[in-house]
Amino acid sequence: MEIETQNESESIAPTQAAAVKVRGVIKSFGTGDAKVTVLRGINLDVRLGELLLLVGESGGGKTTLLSVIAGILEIDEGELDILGVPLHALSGARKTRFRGETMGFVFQQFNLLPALTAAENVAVPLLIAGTSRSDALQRARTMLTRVGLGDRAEFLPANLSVGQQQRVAIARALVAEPRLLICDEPTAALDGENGQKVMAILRDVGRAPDRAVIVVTHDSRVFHYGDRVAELTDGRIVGIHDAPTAPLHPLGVIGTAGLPEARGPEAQP
Amino acid sequence: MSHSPLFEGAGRADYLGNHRCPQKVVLEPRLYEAQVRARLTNGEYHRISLVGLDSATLIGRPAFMHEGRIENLRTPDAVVVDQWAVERMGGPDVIKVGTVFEINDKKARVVGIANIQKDFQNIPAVYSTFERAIIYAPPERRVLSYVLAKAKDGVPVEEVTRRIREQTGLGAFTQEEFGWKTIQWVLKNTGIGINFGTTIVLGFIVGMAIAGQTFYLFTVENLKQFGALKAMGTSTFTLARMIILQAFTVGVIGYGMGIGLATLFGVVTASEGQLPFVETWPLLTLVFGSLLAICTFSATISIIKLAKVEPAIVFR
Repeated sequence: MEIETQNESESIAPTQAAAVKVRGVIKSFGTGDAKVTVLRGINLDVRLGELLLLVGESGGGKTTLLSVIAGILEIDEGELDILGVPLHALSGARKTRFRGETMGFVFQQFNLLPALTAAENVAVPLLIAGTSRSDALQRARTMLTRVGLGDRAEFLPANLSVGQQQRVAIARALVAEPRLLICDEPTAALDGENGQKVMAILRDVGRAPDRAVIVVTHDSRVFHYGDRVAELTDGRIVGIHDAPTAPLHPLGVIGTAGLPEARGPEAQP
Repeated sequence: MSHSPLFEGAGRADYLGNHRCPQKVVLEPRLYEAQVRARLTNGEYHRISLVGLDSATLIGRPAFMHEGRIENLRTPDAVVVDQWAVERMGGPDVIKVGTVFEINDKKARVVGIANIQKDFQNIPAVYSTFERAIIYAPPERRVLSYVLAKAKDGVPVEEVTRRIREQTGLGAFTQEEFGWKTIQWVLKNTGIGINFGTTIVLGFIVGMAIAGQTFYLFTVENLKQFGALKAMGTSTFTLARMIILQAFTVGVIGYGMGIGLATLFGVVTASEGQLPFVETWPLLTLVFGSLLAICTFSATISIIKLAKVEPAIVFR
């Protein structure tokens, strides 16, 4: 079903306090005997002012859930409210527009455009939104300064360290001031020190009262940067934990061992 | 015959042989061309293009003389050869000013060496006067085959050529008509049309395949970046415009470079007396049109690929 009451070109203003409400979401791939159900009735809330960590074994559906929340993948069943907007009911074009206006993305492999400088990469979301080039670059440089890369604004990605590249990607995700930040394993390609720096930045973003951050991660060393940890296994949320207050596994042991006891998948705010 | 107001000047009916001559023709220089064999004193035979110039005006003479003066053609048995004749008939030791050879058993004495542009047939040119040329060449009943006409300002030259045809029975052409007639003759009666045409078609197909494949590969290699842009809210339409802009920007830059290099090559080649070089607006337009077709093809296959890209690939 599509929302017909709004013009395709109009912005879709978020109205609700909760950042993300996922209700009974089912998502499958393939057909017939080859059909694989990846999400099996997901229920999940993400609050404004929260950094939620999404953890679980590989193949458990984390990336699919992230894509569904971003409106990149269509769901088969269920409801999906993002910042008060029923995303599942929007057309493809309006989803794309909504995504551009309200969401920021940090990818595991950064996906910076190699021919553009750091500042130009950061300016891309603003240019997509129609901001003038000079304004976009000015705001991009300001954002790079906020992530500690003010002196690297004119560097090409190839001339930056991987940690710096990921911080450029974060600056790009934040420059348009999105209310929902979606991060796919942002520390996976980084060493421990750079991983901590990146997570500290994301935690600060998540603490803003009108924003929310969702981070998919395998890295238990950074669990303490989150507010809650949602555990996803075989397409189901099997537990939601409060995040630990201190680093969980200094050596980077993968898993949720040591987390506070789960309050169960139904324990929603 | 009534005098036509289209023609002015004294008539020279003797030049037109048995044909009736329009009155008041401004100028009637004659030009003779035939392919004959020249025999050198060492016994070698060479095929030559014998050009007979109007002895009064020497219209049709070579633009540049490397050695000697073209006016010396008016001396007995005189011929002027071009630099290709020197090159092909034995070199500067064999063919030089003063060399004597035979054309149809008749004596020819080199009085000058001309610099001319090589033509497609690439046969050495030997210049003589019209009167001597028709002696050198095998006898023909008629030695006038067409008239090249030019009109006074304000006079329609097409009307002039029409009247010449009517009144003389000869072929009559304007300069432009004769140029195209020559081009058509070369394309139809020599291998140039097929060879050049095949080369151009192959170049177009190969260009399209290479440009299309290169651009397509560029798109495929950057699918993740395109996916990231889609994920960040860029519409497929915007990405398609980016692709089109890239394809046509690269195409126009390539067009400029290609035309520039081709022009440079042509100018250098022409200045060295090699093949003549002509670059016309219709040719440039045709090439630009072909380039746009190649760019459109390249952009289209990339856009088709791009439209199928799921932004979810950035999360894999």
